[in-house]
Amino acid sequence: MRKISEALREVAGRLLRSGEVDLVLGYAWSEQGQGTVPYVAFTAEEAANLCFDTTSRMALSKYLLQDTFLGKRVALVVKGCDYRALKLSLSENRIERKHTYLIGIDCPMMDGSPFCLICQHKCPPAEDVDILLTEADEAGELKASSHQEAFPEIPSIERMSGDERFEYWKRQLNRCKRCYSCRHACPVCTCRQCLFDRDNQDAVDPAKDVLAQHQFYHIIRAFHVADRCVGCGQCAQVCPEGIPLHLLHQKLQLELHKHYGSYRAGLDELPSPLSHAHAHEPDFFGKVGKQ
Amino acid sequence: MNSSVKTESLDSLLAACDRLAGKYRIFAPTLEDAVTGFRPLDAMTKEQRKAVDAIAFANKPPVTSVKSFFFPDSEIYIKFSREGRAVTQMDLDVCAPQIILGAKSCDVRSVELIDKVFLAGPIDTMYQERRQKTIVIATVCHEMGDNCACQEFGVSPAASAADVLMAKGCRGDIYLTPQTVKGEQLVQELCTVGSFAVCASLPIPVFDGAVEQLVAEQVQARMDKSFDSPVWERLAMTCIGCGTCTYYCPTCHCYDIRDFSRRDQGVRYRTWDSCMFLSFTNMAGGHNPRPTRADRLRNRFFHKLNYFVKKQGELACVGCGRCAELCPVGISISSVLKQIGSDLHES
Repeated sequence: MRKISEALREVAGRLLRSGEVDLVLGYAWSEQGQGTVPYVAFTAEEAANLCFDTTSRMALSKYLLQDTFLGKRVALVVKGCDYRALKLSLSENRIERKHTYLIGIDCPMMDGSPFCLICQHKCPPAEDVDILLTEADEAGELKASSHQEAFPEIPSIERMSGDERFEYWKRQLNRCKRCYSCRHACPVCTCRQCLFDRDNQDAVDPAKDVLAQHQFYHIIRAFHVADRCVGCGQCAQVCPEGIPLHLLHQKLQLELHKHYGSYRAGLDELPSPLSHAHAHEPDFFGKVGKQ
Repeated sequence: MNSSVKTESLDSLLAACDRLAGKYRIFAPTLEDAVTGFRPLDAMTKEQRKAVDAIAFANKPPVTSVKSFFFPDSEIYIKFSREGRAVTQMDLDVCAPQIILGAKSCDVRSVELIDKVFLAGPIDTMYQERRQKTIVIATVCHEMGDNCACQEFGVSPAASAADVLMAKGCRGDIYLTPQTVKGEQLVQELCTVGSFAVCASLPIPVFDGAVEQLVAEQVQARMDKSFDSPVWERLAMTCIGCGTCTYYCPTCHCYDIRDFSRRDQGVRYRTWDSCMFLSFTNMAGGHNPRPTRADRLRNRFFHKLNYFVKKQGELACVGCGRCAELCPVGISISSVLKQIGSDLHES
């Protein structure tokens, strides 16, 4: 990613030198030497540390909601999926576009991510970003895989019997330690206070043992982001226990498309299908007998 | 003590362990859905049993540390039920004697550090009971793993104070060397149920000492100077505020006490808590002494590299490298040490 990285350093250096922005939020090499990690450059000298490659997975847009970024003029390095997440925050008036300089990246696809195989929006719309960086001459148009090719686990889980499927998810979710890295890495999980962080909550038990209510946490979270998921795949990527959370989200996406048409979070305008309801829509919760 | 025994393979050791299953619960590191961690030996599939060898002798620890065998992620204090107006306290499950087969030096050392907290008065009796009922068999490392920094923190990759040291010969034969009374007893029991022969202990790999050890007091002093450094604010800007570092750290040992009840049954239990969460220091009345991510991040590293030194005389890190491997944004003990000053290795 030599071209993108060089262009990025140049743009960032210029923005910081001219004082057009207070900081540039992008990626730099990890000190552990394992690819790139999020990085904030405050000076033109620090801009030289910025880079972008196929390990620059972490979505950055969510950082802008933090107090440390609010009120600052931020230049944000943003790839396709991350732009979709940013657009949700912009539409919800959580972030002001005029305080943000967007350095769009024509994403070269991240290493080993099934999401990138089906991604059709690798590049944020040119008219919505302030500058667009691309690896141009390297970019031969890659043919997008089908959903089934990218996520072969989904049909195989669908084919399981109810009991098998229950055992499968029980085994996966029992490893959960509630570190909440999935929630914190998710660029569209942006509630000011999470349901699971409430004091003295009665509804959800915070215990971590194997009989604890991890399934409630994960299922509630999957539903909460069902019509917000932009398919960045970070939830599964950061999970220390390798829980395939992305499969829950992708399964819900398929269901959502089946029942509510082709709404795509961060591309189509709000409202999203699950934030409002029409009288003619199917009622899955069958309120028969309830008044 | 210290006379070693050997058996022809890890399989034959595991077979001997199987015969002790009535007396002990036995755990070993293996794979589950491609993630390394300790699992009960009697619940492993054939493939999982096969995977034990490679993971127990890998030059890096499994993702989950052994701390949960002494300090489980959730542990019940009292359990009660109610019938009408009568409340009955129910019996708790008793911790069975357990064997942890294939721990790493770093993890063994981490338990010694937690001992300083839980076994100093007032003694944490639940921890103490698990400690007494657990026998740790540690493997030796032959090389340093990618993120390993144990030697910097004074941990030898090839020696530890585990009850039994386990080494593998070049033909895959397994050598056991007991180091404690508990370990000696276990090795004797294993000898009665399996095929072991007394032998000279296998020479443990020697590390050349090229890695310079950190001096706790120097790190502590450096941290004292960096309390008001902008470093914390900077690190906090990219920290996402999850609890991965704390829950996978073998020396983190903070917990919260909670009640949970449904209808006529209830429990009071403790469960791991993370100082990276805002709720960790939230007080009744709404005040929070560590309101920002920078406060929380600084506190975590101060606990490891400063407060623990002041209280216990040691650094609360064993260099296992899990934070370096698992932190989604690359913040680790090593990266912090680098940032607070490179003069640590000098003098």
